[in-house]
Amino acid sequence: MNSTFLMLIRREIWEHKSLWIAPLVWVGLITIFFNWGMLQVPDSVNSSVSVDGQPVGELIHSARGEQMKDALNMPDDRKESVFAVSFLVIFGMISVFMTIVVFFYLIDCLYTERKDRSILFWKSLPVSDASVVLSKLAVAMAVVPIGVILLSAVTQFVNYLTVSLILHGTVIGEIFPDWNFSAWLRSQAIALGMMLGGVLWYAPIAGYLLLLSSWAKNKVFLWAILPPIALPVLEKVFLGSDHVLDFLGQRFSGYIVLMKVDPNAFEAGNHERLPAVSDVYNAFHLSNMFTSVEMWIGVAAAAAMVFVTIRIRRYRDES
Amino acid sequence: MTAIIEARGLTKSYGKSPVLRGIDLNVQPGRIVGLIGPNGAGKTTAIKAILGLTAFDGELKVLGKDPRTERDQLMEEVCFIADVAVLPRWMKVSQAVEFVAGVHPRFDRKRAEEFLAKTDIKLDSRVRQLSKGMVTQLHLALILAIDARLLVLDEPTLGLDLLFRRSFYDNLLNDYFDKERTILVTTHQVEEIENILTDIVFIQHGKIALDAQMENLGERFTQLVPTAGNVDAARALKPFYEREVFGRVAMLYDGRKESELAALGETRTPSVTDLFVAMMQPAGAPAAPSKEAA
Repeated sequence: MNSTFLMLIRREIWEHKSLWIAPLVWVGLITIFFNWGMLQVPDSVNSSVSVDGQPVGELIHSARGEQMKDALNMPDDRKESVFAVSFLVIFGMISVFMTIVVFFYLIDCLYTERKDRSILFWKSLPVSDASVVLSKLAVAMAVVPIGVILLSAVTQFVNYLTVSLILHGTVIGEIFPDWNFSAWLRSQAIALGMMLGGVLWYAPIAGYLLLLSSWAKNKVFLWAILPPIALPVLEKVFLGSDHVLDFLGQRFSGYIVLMKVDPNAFEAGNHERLPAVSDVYNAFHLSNMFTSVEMWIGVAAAAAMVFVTIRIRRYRDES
Repeated sequence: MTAIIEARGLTKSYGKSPVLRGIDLNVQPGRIVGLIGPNGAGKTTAIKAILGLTAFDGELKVLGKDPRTERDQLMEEVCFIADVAVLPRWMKVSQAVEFVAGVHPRFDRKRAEEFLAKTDIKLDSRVRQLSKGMVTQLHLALILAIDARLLVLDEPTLGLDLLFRRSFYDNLLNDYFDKERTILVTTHQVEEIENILTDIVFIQHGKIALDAQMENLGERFTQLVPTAGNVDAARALKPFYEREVFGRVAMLYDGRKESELAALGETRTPSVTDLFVAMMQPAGAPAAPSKEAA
């Protein structure tokens, strides 16, 4: 990667501060609510759960407390799955949030430079239209995804630390598993696979938004959301069929279908029914995504739309 | 010497209305060319074609490159200030310097910073916080630090007060211009740049109305204010323009010897402004001189 391209990426991050401020705020909120919820747990468990009329909070250091701990305790395998599931939940929360942030970034990135006429300044520099468009695509499809994975990895670790501090000295703290580095690392591997699959699967949507951003004279947001809503409705009303809806539905949810996430893997009741960690890891059929013809057709469509976007930016005359 | 800009038969239409109707232009190195015309004459479109910002028909080479397909390479040696509004308003001054330094191989960062140090512009200000004049100074600081061969200015001082306008052109001439460099400037404030130009090109209705070197203007054009009895005689010599000033008539001639006219009254070389006004008459007024006379 040459220095011009890196500078173009830095430029995007200078301009679109929401790309890094929004996720930091979001992660802060997740951490606060997660820990606030945890703060309620020890008290309620200590006082409301009782064994033979004695609250567990008092039992904990007695002989019966030891027995109870054994009873509540889980095999290591189940403990690891608790880690894996909560890590992936945190990753999921950040990913979904950043998908929304990136949506707004994409519809905005080639539109504002035209609106404020700064495109004349950018074009007065020896930077090709292809580099500019690709730098914006790279922000949406590489920089942000990598950032999400790093941020979620850190958030997982921080939340483990704060939660274990909160639970320290309580019943649950006694059975709270030690930090499991391998579960953490495997979760990152799954996150990476899911992210790569998601990026490729949703690439045509990114391409479409980028195209709109370079093309629409105004109201890019409406252009982005109206056709996917209006076209299925119109088709239903006038033709009575649902082809557009099926197509869009497949494009939005097909990723999850392809991954074949097995909902049973996450069924949790008492710890006996907690999933084994291998079930959790195997619930994501990552390889299915990369062998799907449909996904690669989508990638090709994305490439075509990016190509058109570059042409539009090159020849568009803003007078 | 190879031409900096070489255009032949440049045409461009927006929909059905033609904006450029066959522009021929040849700009040599070391010239300061004023592209002058009324609003809507096609100045900006011509500039855009030269900078590769718009599609067009015809032949055009800028520094030997085709702006349509080689804009990014071309911009290594061409600088461009459109008007004050184009610097992105969200950007910090320091970021603007950093960015240009990062993408432009011929940018001298130290030079830009030295220039900025002489102004009131703070490095951590955002462009939106600067006055219009300061934005132009910033843009100029960036441009002057680029070792370019062609500088294109499109109404660069629009909306600036007199002091900024004056210092803009002073900076340009003192810190930038030399025999290797070429400046192409459009403006409709003709009087402001006429004494720095080496060449003038008048453009009207998408056509070149006049393409002349400043040093030849005196040989070619004469303004005559005939004495009272000589008005008819003066008219017989076919001025291409006449107007009344304070009860006396001023006539403009193209290609008449000054000695021939001097007998009829007061003569002098018309200013660019005089010529501009004379030639940019709306349709129905006396025709502008034909290009072939050049």
